[in-house]
Amino acid sequence: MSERANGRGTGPATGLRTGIYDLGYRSYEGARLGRAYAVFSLFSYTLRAIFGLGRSVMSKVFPIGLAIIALVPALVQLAVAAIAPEEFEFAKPENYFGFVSIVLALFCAVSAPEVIGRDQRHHTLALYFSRSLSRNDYVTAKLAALGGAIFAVLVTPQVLLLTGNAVATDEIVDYLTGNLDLVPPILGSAFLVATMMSSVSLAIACQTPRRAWSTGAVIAFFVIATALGAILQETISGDNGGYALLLSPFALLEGTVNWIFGATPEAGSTLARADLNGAYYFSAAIGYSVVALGVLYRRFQKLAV
Amino acid sequence: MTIAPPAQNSPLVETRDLTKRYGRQVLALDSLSLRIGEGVTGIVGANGAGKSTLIKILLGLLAPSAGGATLLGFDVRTQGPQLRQYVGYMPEHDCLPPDVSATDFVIHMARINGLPSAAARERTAETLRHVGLFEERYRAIGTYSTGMKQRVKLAQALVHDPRLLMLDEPTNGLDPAGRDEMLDLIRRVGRDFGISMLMSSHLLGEIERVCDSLVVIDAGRLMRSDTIASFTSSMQVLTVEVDERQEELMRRLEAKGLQVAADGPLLTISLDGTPPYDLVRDEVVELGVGLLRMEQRRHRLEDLFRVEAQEAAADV
Repeated sequence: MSERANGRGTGPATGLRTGIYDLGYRSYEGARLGRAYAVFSLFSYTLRAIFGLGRSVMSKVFPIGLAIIALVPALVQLAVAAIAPEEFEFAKPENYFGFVSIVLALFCAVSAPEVIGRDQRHHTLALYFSRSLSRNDYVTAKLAALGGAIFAVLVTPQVLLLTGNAVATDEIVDYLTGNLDLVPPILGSAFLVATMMSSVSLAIACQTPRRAWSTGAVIAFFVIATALGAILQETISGDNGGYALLLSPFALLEGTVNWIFGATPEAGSTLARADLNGAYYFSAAIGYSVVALGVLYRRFQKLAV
Repeated sequence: MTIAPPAQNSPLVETRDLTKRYGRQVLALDSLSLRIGEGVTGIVGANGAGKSTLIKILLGLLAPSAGGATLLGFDVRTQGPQLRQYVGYMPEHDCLPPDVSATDFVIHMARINGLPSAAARERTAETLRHVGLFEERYRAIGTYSTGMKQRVKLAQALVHDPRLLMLDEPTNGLDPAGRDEMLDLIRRVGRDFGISMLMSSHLLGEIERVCDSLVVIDAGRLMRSDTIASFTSSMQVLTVEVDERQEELMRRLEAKGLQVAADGPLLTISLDGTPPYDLVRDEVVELGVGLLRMEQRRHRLEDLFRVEAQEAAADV
């Protein structure tokens, strides 16, 4: 015990009048774990908040509902495979993003304002920025939390699919070892999708503390950029129309995922018609992310609290 | 990673030519140099005098335009992350999320301040009890009264046992009863918990009740920095009230060599040494008037500033 605690920690019990009961103040002499721990604490707190854990039932409905919807293609596939064991595989890791891209965009629209707008709305930023966290640390923790959530929502059904398929076969271990080469592209593509979607939606959502506005703006971005890409692809004559798809967040992410898995797009699809090298999609995804990250970090450097 | 605690004997706060400009026009702090020691220190000044700017620079929320400052011996610009683990901050404005409970929020802030989970939970329970929040601490903060919210704000600033607590207008928005409770609480944190504090207020009465020393800033400049006692001790007066012929009594006392001023129905006699009770009594008897009141009192801080303001006005 320190001198402070012994020397002055035992004042008279003045509690009853003020409603404060003197049970003795104890000073804290234990560990103070510093900046990296503060960043991790903010990350885990935000991740819980994204799924509404420790919050009201209403704040759980959308994020957990969307995460469950993202599982549906995998569950249907497993059910179909169980009923009709002959070769019928519509949902695979390589095309799973295509099934859930809109669900992920909605997840971003619901979560990003919570992740990045909440502390602006309630003026909590002054508390964080006066701690051992820096402004960049704050943004990094928030980004990691939303990115981590998107990653989990995308990877969980693919893992389920893989293990479900393995259980359906007689040789579980053989199936899993035979499909081990799927693990790196599953993780790599999900990482890229999570990075781009989280950085873009946070860069949009951080512009206003008002929740409804930022949710609308994130949805508007996905809708307008996708529509613009599709319209330009149709209107630009010749082979160059395909490059317009690089504007569309869904198309460029789908192209990137295909490229990472080494898969070819389905015949007749917009991606097949564009016929671009996968490296273009990949570069566009990186480009989008870098711009969004620049906007996001810059915004918090400038923000007055 | 554990960080070495700040040295015990370094001054709490030290600023050197601290200057803050907003744009070209506004000079919020103008070469402010001051040194603040242990104990509870009040920062007073009119709205816009630079109190909040000073606190925000010390906390690293704002960068100074020129000059520098140390807190607990750490440089606020280069050693911010290390030092701020030992500092608590209660902002002037509302800063609490409405949809979480006080317990959850304060535990979270304790962890942000570097406390391991178990310690964060334990200290949160203790701190909320110290500030007077009991069963309600499990309820969402949005359902709290202003006074309860102020207590949560204080708790999150205290939970990690800071060496220095900064309170920016801690009684803002409170009714008189809530104000009294908050001031009692702050005084207790300073005196009984032994935590040094820097508290800004534009109400001198509050500062007088809570603080040991006082820093006065005006238009970003340091006007005076001293202990509360020295601010007021030089200002001992004897006040006398009679039922009639006040002016006559005043002349008689002045003739005896006393410094007398009329202040409404009262005569105030400046003191140096023992109060001249007998002299006043004799003069009153000779005049044959009724003595309603005679008391020795200290000038309140307000009086001091009234005098200074009058002098300043006279100079213009």
